[in-house]
Amino acid sequence: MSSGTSLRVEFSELFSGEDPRPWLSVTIADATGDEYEIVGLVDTGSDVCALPVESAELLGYFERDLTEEDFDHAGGSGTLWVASQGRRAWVTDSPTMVFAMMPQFIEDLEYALWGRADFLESFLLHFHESESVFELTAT
Amino acid sequence: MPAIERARKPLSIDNLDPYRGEWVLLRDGRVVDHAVTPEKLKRTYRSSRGDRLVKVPRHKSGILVL
Repeated sequence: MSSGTSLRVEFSELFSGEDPRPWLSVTIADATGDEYEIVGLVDTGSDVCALPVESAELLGYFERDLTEEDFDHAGGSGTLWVASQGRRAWVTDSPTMVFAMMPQFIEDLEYALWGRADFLESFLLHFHESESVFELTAT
Repeated sequence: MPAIERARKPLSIDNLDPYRGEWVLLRDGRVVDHAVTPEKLKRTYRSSRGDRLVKVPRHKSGILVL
């Protein structure tokens, strides 16, 4: 990772009629090296990087690669599937910002969440809410 | 002083409402394919073209509390 490199990201109105939010593209390489760019929400409230369960197959995971666990969220609790092997990932618009993602998959999750483990532990994050901008810095 | 890069914008030019509950494949901000699972978009997906995969939430959200 290139220490000191910063990426400035403006909040985006990804879906029409919704407030601009901190969306970020992250590229994830599957076990064969194929790369997929997935747009997710930077979420400081999430302990982990979570993806909708239907994306597990895309990233090369089979049922045998996933362990079921309970988790809690703001509205209650649920079940997630933890990958046994991580995947190489990087911030798409700044490919030197690489991190090892241990994705966790959740049924009915509305979009990918880039959370504290894996993702945020690899970078410094500054929110400039009044400017609708966030900045990621490689540590 | 550290180099500051800027992320590409916009993520989407097209209205994604018709694809609620599905995954869309964006190329240059335009929807070029859509399916219930991203696996089904693999044939169309080209990383060299800067394609992006987005899951479009089933419902429009107002105030979002995660």
